Amino acid sequence: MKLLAQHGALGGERVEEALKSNIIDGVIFGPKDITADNLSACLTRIRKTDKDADLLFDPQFYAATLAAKGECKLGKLGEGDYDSYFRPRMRSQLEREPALIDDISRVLKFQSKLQLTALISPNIFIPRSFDSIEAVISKNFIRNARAQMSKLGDKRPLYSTLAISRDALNDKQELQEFLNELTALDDGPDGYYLLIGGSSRSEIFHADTIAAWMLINHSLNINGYKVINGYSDLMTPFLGAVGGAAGATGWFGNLRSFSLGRFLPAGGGRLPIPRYLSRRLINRITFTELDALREQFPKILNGLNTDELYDPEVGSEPSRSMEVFQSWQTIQSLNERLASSDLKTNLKKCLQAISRVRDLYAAIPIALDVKSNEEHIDALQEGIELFAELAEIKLPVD
Amino acid sequence: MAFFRPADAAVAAAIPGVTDIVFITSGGFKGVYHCTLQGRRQALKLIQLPPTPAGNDDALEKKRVLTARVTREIDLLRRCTCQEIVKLGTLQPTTIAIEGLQTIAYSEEYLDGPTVWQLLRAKGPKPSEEECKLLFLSLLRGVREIWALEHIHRDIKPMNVIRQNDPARMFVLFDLGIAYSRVDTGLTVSGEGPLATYRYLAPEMANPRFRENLDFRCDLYTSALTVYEYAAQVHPIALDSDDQLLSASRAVNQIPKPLNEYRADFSAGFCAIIDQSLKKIPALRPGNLNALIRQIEGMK
Repeated sequence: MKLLAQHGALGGERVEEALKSNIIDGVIFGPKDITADNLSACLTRIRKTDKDADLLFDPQFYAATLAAKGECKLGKLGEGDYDSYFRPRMRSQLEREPALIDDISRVLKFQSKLQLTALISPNIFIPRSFDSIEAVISKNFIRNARAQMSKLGDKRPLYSTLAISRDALNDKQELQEFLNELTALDDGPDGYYLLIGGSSRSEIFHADTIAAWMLINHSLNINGYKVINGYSDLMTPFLGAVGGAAGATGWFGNLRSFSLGRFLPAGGGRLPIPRYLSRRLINRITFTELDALREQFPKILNGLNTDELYDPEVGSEPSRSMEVFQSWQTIQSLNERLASSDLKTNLKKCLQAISRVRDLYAAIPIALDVKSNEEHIDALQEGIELFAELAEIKLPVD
Repeated sequence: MAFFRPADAAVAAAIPGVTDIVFITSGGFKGVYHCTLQGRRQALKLIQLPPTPAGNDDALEKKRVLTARVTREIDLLRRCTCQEIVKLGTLQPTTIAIEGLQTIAYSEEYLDGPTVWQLLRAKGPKPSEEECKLLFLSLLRGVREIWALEHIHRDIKPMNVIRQNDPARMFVLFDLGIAYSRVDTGLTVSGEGPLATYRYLAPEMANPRFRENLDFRCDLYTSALTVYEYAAQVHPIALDSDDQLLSASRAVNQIPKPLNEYRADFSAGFCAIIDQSLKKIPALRPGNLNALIRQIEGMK
């Protein structure tokens, strides 16, 4: 399974460095955080140095409905560079197919001029339910994408954006019916750029969300579609275990989980405390927690070369700009362990890994920060079990 | 009304040129014979239309639906070109009276061999993996052709597949009598139960709203079901003693044992494809037919 960088406001050189070190396999750029000139220059540089890198552009069209309501923080997406395709869109406008087709065409035309390895067609966000007008519009975006790509004559792979709120995933019957329709499209895309929206750790690490996210990856993969999971962060290896082709993560929280909240005005805040992603805990702990635990519980350390970024001589505090390297390398290593080609073996390994996480947390004698604790473990286990039930897979015993 | 079997002589008298008539089977309104026609063996199909007494609207409606089904089946057969689906014979559909009953008669090519169902009931040696792959490939090619013509067979089962001795054309699918068109107006009112045989019912057919989302994956499921039963000589979920309700309930709820448990001698890859094609949710079945066919061809 591939790991891509979710490109944000920071990044340029770091991404290129990570590509050179083979810590990541590619990049997903987002127009909110990069000017069109910088994007083009960055793509050219990367193509020169790394011909195998996956280079994608998320058009972030889903922000168009927010823009229509005003009071939105579009960043560079709203500063003119992307006016050839991005404009505020009322939901009612998108109910009319000609307008929707025009939007698809403009988005693909914009990307066709860039040195990308594949094109991503636009979509809106499904906020509450698959039984909704937004879901109908979303399916229309997907149905019409291939024809617009064919008109362009562009031979690169086509991915359709599929952006869904975690709330919509709660009704499993509706999800199954949605998947039944999606997998029966006559002339669908080559794959999907899948975004699952949730604003907090507890929303994403929830059994229902995990199971549904895995089911979507599994179903689309069985039907021959490649799934690139945006903002999938720690879920990446679990999605790879059931057939996901790629996952992505970036610097800070807003690049580690997808939320339209990124496009809303926000108050200022303190910089987050640097964290260490422990493969054994399948979670991040603060550098101070790492410093307190690393001698007594060396299993917390990954044994990867990015461990060196957390020097015990300086209290295990990493350079803030290097923290993401450690995340990428750890997730990549989890991918290698959990996401082979055999589904049942993968699920067994996932459950074994969770069992080890549980044991290690139980042995830790200090109270951990709320984001560092074991809250995600029950959800992961229940999520995998629920996924197996939905996918009619008998989980291996022990 | 079940098929009323007329005397063979009455049939021969009603259809000029027909000789050597041999009754094969009947089901519903349909009787099937083989006969000699224009110098070659052909399968003769007779569909008896119900009498329509004046003022009996139900009977009129039944006759309309039955006639429309036969027309649809013949039209579909005419358009199918792949060798995995039975071909029409020389007798064009014609409405005649046989022993006072209005009857539609037409012919199909005569397929020389037992049905897969007859082979299953004979309980002979279990077929090889190669033969099961060939059966699955034949059914998938048939399903692909029917779907390309915007139809679903809806009644794929061991009784509707003939096994010939011809290695170049071993398995042939027939009886498109309840084929479902995804573009034409439905022949029956939505809300009526499924027409398919309950023992070979795709789970989505048990949904009262099945017409809204029915697609070729229903045929993919029943093709896999047929192959599973042929390979294992055990139905994956149904028991012979089940009634219709129990059969439908099993189709929706009961997960089959993996095929490998019955056929440990088969490759894991082929068994996995059959198992995956038997998933209850259509979205979990391998829906890219061309890729699936290529994959199985590559296993040979």
